[in-house]
Amino acid sequence: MDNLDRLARPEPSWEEDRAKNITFIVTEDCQLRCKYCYLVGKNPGRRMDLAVARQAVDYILRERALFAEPSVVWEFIGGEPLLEIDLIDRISDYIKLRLYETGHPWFDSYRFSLSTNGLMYGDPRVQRYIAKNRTHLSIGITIDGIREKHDLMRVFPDGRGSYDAVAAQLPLWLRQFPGAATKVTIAHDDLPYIKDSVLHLWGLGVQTVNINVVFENIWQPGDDALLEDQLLSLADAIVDRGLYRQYRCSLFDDTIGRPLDPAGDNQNWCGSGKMLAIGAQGEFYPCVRFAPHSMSRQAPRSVGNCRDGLDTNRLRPFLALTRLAQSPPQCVACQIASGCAWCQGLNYECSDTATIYQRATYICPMHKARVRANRYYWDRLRRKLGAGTC
Amino acid sequence: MLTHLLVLLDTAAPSFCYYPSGRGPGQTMSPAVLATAVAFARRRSLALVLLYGETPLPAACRDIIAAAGPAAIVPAALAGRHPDAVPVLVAGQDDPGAIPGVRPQLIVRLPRERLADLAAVVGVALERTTRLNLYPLDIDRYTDGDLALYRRQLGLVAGLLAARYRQGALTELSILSDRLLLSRMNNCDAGTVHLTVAPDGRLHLCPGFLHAGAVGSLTGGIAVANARLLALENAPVCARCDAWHCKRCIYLNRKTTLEWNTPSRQQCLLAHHERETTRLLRQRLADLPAFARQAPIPALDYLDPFSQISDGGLGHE
Repeated sequence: MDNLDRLARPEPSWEEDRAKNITFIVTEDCQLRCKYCYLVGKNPGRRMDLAVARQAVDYILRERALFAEPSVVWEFIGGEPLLEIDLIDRISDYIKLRLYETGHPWFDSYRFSLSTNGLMYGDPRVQRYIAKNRTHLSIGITIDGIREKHDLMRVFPDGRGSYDAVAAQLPLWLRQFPGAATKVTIAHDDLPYIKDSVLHLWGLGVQTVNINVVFENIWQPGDDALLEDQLLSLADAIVDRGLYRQYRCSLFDDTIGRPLDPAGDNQNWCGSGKMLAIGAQGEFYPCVRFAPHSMSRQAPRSVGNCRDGLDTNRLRPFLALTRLAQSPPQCVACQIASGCAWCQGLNYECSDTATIYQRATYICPMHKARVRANRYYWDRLRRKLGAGTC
Repeated sequence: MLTHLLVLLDTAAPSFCYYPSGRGPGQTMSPAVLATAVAFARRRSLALVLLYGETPLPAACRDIIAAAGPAAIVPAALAGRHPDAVPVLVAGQDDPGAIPGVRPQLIVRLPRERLADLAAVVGVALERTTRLNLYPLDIDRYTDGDLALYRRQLGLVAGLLAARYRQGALTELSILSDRLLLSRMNNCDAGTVHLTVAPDGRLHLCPGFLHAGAVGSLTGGIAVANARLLALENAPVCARCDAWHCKRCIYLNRKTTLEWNTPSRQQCLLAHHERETTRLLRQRLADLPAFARQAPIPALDYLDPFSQISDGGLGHE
């Protein structure tokens, strides 16, 4: 019999809860203009300089008390990070060299991670980088599903869709990273394509599809019903065809939709502040969502820089954040609160007083729809697998 | 519940706590705005506290003040003219000896560069008042060395107080004796218990927020967005803390951590040095009946309550 416990919970990531995530924002430029992208200030001007990256690496490796996690994920982000593949390669070399030279414990426990739009995946320089770092590297390519959905959202500046260019890279990517996952983003216009997109991606060989609906204030009346319909259809397809044995879709998670204990389940959802993002000029941010190219309404929120170091006072609000301290009363009282996510950067962006302690709740109806669909899915799956209902 | 309205008569009025004083020449409040402020406070049963600058007020303002009879905080230079007001002194700039008589309250602001004089300043000031409110300034710039010096100076001040208490004096010093007398948080509560009206009639959380946006006006009413973040229960660090005398200054919080509800490391350490010195002072005076009646202050194995809630770690302590 299939193990329901295994099916019901998300796969843990590498060294989850033990790894410090350090993100280099190597460029604020991108070849695409995805309609749901939160990076509203893309520009070709700001790119990281190698000297800045080196200064940041030196600072981080020197300050072991502040960066005491046993493992590290060095992440490269943009914009589109592969636009700066040569810089990424040099930063990676420098990190490895310094980890070795300083006898740093991370030398035995590090990874590099990239999330790309895939357009440059086949570039020889990218392939050389992959070959060089293969045993310490994760790369995710973002493909949004079927052509209609992908090309609706993930477009070039002239409006052309990017599906064909990205899909052409998938076979090579999946050969090199067979267990790789893709990340799908859902906004208002592409709701009707969810089911077909997940099935399509699985058909292409992407076994894990991580999906999230955007947190922004874009949802319209009826969108929750559309989402629910799509998930119910997808649930039927998964259960009827036995797809749960081989594939995963993060929208189905048996841990969501339960009440949360005010004392025991009071932790913050978001990891901002525990991770560190490094801007092109060497500024430190709690995550990329607080960097200048993410901001349209509030000022960027820096927590130091690679010259003067971390401003630990500015980090304190992030590390002290609790669910209750930032949630409105209806969220505190919610009986299906578990799994309802938020983004600290968007909370800050939408807040009335430039605070990270004001939770944006635009996602509420979509979470409720997801919970309803999950109940249907897990009930069907349990009945099929003879596990009874909970 | 809102109980007080602070009336900033002059934007150059000296600060009476942590925020920086306004720079002159300031804008003074007109008689019309002052009359509206008095009416605003009366309708809401708010007590008025006037914050004076050194610029003379028009006669019409003085008439309104005389009729309203409010409390007042004045620069040291005006202490002689306002015998019922609370004078504000800056250590190193103002001479406590020049304050006539013995005041029920005195405020002393201590610049960082005068930190080594803390005990001496307190000793002189306590000759002029029965309650001294002391505010160390620039604490966001305090180094670990400054914090250690503060702790040592507090020890000296505790010695002064102990001697006074053994002589039967009823002297209060905000940074030490307040914690002895409290059984729960007693913070500044700007925005919750009091608001400040500026000379232009706009309302602010406190004078420190004069240039950081208004929270209403005398004519438009009070509109504090995110007022919930001023409440203790939504301040994760402070909610677990028992340094009950701490001002929990939202101006300093915002300046140092960018949030109203999160204190800086320096603010927490100062408050806990004060708490620990008070704990030892109480032990030292336990043979006096008045002190034996006070609940003992438990010993702690930390100085920064943030270390008790965060699993993120910031490499301190």
